[in-house]
Amino acid sequence: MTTVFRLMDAGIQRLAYLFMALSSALLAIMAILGTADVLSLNLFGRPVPSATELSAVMLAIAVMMGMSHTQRQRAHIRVDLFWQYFPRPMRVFTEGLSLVIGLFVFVLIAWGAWQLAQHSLSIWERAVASVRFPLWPFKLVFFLGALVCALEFLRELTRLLFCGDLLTDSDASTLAHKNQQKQRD
Amino acid sequence: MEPLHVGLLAIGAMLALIALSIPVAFSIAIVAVIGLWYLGGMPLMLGTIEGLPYQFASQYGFVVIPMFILMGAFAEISGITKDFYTFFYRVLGRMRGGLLMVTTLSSAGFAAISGSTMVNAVVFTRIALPQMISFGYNRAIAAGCIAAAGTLAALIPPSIMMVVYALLTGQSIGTLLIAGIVPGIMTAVAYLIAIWVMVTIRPSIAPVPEERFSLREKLQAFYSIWAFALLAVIVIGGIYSGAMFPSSAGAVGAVGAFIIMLMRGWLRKDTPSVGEIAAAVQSAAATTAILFLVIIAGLMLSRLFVFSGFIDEIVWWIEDLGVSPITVMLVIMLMYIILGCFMDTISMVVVTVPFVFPIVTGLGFDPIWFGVIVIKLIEIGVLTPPIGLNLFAVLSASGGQVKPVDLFKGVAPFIAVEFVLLALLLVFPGVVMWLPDLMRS
Repeated sequence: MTTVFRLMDAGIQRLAYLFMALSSALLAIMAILGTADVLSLNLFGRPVPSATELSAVMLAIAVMMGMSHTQRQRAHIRVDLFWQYFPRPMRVFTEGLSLVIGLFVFVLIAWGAWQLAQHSLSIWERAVASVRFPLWPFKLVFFLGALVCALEFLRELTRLLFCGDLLTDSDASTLAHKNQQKQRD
Repeated sequence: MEPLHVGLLAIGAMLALIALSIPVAFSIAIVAVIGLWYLGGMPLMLGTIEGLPYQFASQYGFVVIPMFILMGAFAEISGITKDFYTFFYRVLGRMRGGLLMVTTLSSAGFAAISGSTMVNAVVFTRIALPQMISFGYNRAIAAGCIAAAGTLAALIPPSIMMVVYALLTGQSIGTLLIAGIVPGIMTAVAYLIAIWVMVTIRPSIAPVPEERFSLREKLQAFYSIWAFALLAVIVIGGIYSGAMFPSSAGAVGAVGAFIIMLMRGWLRKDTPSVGEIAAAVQSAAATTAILFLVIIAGLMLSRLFVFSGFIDEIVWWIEDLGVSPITVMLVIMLMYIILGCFMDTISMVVVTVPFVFPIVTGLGFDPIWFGVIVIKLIEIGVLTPPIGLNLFAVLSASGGQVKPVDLFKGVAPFIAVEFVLLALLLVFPGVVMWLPDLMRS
């Protein structure tokens, strides 16, 4: 059982890293595409075909693919004004509650994204643009991004509930606290 | 349950979860999801969850956020902040209080490339604070000035907070960014005047440095910053003239900052490593994910407030009270100032704007003007203890050179300046609306 958990742990971690790397690459591509579009419009009088539509769908998947790694880094914005005064059991409770809520929210988002992707796939949906590129792969990746994030929450919750080595309270909250500090920096 | 009660219960539950240290996005989202389920059953809740995140995140107009973040990240690792500081130091350093003025102007200059108040505060704490301390400047005033000057990034475009406000309220991103220019410049000038007054009354807080610089050295310093200054002009000018959408301007800014960063590195034989560049892009991706999740949650909350009838109810309630719109505005401002003492900026905007914005526009206030007022209130929020983010940023970056109490004292005169400016913007809304009106015409 431990081996299964370890494999899951390593697998989700690698997926989160991979998705974050892809998300970063997409941002760079969007910047290049946007600049090429402006240059083309001003120099040749016509924009790069479908550049804006492509950037828009790339933004959606870049956002969702960055979620799991962000959660892993405990980088989501939180107000930790009272946290330092919480006793240890309260810290464990709030950590667990965060994970349960996060899991619930991301399961719902993943479910919604799957509905969208399924529909898009069933009609082979294409963009309404000069180059009618297929939209379904983007919606599918959007769903995968949400799914991996939900899995990350599940992994963390499992470790909190059963493994006892979580990120247990002190580690998790310290990490969150450090990230909060990093955000401030 | 009455709409008013639904709304108040939602706000209370959300604040309670946030106080428990639950991430802000999750706190807002769970309240919105449960509220939508309560009011409209599963169809409304699932319909919102299915459509909203993808539809929101896949709009071209919102590409501007990661692009501005990327632009700031590249500018930061290129070392431009130090060059801004060096330029203004060589020009103004010999004046009494010159280093405080230099910090304010450099921060304003860097604000035109970076949209983050905290980045500004941290960077200038590292660059300016040791120098001011070594020249015998009063530590409290020096640190307070750095924290306050950092807030200029919230108003001077490209401001990430302005974009977040625009996304939450459906206002034009370009118009809002342009609306921040005049109040941003006014704030910088007001800080300079405040510094001049302080050093005139108490010259001991800012001794005059001995160092002198020739015209050639000043021009050399300008040579280091002209490229980024030009990029800022192209980006802001492109948006103002309508030649580029804000998202396109952001993309041009990001690529331009990247090229300038490489050129500077090549000329100085100090090119950032691939690892540093990758880390900057990854950090921009992470910040984008964080911001979008919070905004998506905020939009779900807006839907809850609209669907419940809470907004209409509260507007009628205010109208029944018979108080003037300006009184309501003052109460709203007070609420922001109090919240700013306890909440970070993004959370404060996302939690409050969904219900405050319809009230304010319902009372006849201009949405663009109100955006600038909200940002001004945020500036005050990041400077007020105990949770003022810029104060934390300065304290953590100072490495123990400044005590919290000293910093609180040092920032107080600048908070006073902010209140004066806020009053001016309230009395003369034309100051804010001049450039946007000119742009529209």
